[in-house]
Amino acid sequence: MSGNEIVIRNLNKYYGKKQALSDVNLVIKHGMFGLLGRNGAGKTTLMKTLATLLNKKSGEINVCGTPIEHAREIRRMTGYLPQDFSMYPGMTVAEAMDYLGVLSDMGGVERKLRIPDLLEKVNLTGHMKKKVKALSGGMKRRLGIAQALLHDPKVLIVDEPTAGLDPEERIRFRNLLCEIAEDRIVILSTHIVGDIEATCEDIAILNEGRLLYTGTVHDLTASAKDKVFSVTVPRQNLQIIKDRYFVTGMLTTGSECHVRLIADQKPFPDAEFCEPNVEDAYMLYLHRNGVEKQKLGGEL
Amino acid sequence: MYGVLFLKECKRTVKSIPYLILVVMLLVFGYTQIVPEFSMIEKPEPNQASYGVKYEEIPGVIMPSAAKSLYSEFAANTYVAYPLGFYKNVKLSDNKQARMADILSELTGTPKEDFMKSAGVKPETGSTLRIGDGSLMNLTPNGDGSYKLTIPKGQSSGSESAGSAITDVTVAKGLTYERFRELMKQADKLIGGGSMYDGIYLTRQFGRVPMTYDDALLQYNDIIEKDRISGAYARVFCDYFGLVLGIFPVFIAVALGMRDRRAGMLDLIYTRKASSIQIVFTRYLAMIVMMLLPVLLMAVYAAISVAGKYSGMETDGLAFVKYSLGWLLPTLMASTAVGVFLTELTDFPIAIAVQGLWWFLGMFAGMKHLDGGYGWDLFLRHNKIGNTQVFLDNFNTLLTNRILYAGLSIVLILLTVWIYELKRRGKLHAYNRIPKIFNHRRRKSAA
Repeated sequence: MSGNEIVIRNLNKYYGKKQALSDVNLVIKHGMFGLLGRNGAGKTTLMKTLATLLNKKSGEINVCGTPIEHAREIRRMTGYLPQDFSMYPGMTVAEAMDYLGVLSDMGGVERKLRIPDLLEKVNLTGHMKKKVKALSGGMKRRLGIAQALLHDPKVLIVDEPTAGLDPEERIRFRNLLCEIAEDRIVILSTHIVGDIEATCEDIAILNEGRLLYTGTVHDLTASAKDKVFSVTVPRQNLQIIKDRYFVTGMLTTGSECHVRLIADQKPFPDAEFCEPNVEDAYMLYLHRNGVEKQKLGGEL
Repeated sequence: MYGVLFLKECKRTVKSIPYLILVVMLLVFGYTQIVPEFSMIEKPEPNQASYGVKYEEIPGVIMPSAAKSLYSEFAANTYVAYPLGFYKNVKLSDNKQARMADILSELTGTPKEDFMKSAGVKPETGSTLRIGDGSLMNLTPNGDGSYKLTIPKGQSSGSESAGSAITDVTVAKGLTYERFRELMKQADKLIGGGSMYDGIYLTRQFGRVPMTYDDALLQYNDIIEKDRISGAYARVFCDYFGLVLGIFPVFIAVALGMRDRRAGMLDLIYTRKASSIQIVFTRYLAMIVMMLLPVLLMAVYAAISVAGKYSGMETDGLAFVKYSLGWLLPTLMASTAVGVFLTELTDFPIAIAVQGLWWFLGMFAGMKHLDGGYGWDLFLRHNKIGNTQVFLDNFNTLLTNRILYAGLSIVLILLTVWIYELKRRGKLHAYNRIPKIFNHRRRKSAA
């Protein structure tokens, strides 16, 4: 077992009688790792379990060679940015960072050097004396990353960090994560496929607590090869197509509609093969694993 | 880490509004109400009109006084009691009144029937009815739903017959003090407990005797020599501040205990390296130290004030601080610990209600020994300057009490550490176990 990877074996977790994670087996290696899944798939449960915030029912988790049961050791090597991130609103950015630094057992000198450094990295140097409550959503998320990196963890767990951010902030945030992932494991949990596509090479797909896929983004995309088509149809036929195929995109222009769909075979003579993207492959994977079209947003 | 974290927690405490209210209250209360009340203790002079009173366990004083009091309450069938510290006017049933008459009979040597008659307790058969002029009538059912009203034998319809009061209640000859205590205990039990015949309070209630010049001089000398003056005032200082510290710290503990959840900081703190014991204990210690600070400030002010009042005499400059630490600190520790523990356990400010109730009961319970004497109360009363001998006589009770509350506080904090660790590891979700009435506060799983 390598000291630079997270190994999860037969992980099970229940909330009362409801099984939240079911026999999850996963190896997460150095760099960015994306955890993709619908809302309620079990992503946050898995992330919280890795961050020692939830207790597993059974199975094994080893974080860089340390069993998850050794919570204090795990906390020393893990940084966590929760989905609903916030800090004491009345504290300034610097105060909040310093407080969390103390709780991370960092010395005074170390804090003095590292906090400005991290705030610079997340582009918050000019806001050190600003109160947390005065920060914008994007700034707060960047502060969240900075606090998670305070003690220079080997593993960074980031749960749904881009939800609610505007496109510019989202791109900036994704780039920041990629930089950070150069010298550690970064686990990014999201239901936004674009975030995964832009940042991760290795991913896993979770659905209803079960792991549907683990592998590279490339392999996932390749699995949808020859299954994605585009076709232009009269607008009145749209509903029939939606009922019969998995529609992943459509653009209506006048009385016609340009549809992107997934099908096992060419659906219409005039349909054209398309290069699949991660979203197509993800949707196909979910459908192949029994997720109904209606549950996939009603379009697929 | 402990030192820096402690300072940061102190800062967090200081910035909380309940803390600022407490500080203002302690300082204003001490400055305007307590220290100005410190009247000068004068040396007694021979042939003064009065030297005050003292309480002593003298059977010859206590027994007749208690017997008279019991008879008077019996005759009116109105017994004053403080069960659980609350004032209660107890009215006994005829059956219990009859048993009380037995006690009085043995106590005084007067036949039971006389007591029964004097109090108008109904005879074994039929019922009695007291009419407008106070006289008693026998009420006998006729069997057809109607009643027959008759004048009891040996009683005319005049007002003198309404149960002639026993004017001379004296203790029976040969009644030992031990037997007297037993009878008083039985009387207290009949009343339902908490009466003035309860063993602890007999002396306080009936052992009141006037002080002589020698007594007053002895008391004065105790204050000068044993208390070195300041001690006598320090107990009153603790009496007042104990009332505040018995309730207000819980507000601060609850406010700070709920702050992490309100700020959404729980996960951020839970995932830090600091151990649960470091976090919980440091926060608790910071609260205690910061709340003790204004008390100590007032203690110093009071010490200076007393020293100024008695310039030229030897005072104990550290008495107020020593008393604050020994007497008030356990109260502060306990009320804070209750707040910390219950807030962590329930994620709800239930501690305010619990501590409020405890404080309320303590207030009434303390009424019985307002001038000292102590007991198991959270905040100890000593609302009299001096009373040195009472303090010394009950010092062991006081010491045990204070050690117990300090110990209880530590136990509560250790339990809090345990709960904190369970919650930190996702093994306890108090927040989701709160009754349905609070369901709107639940946070849905984001997974």
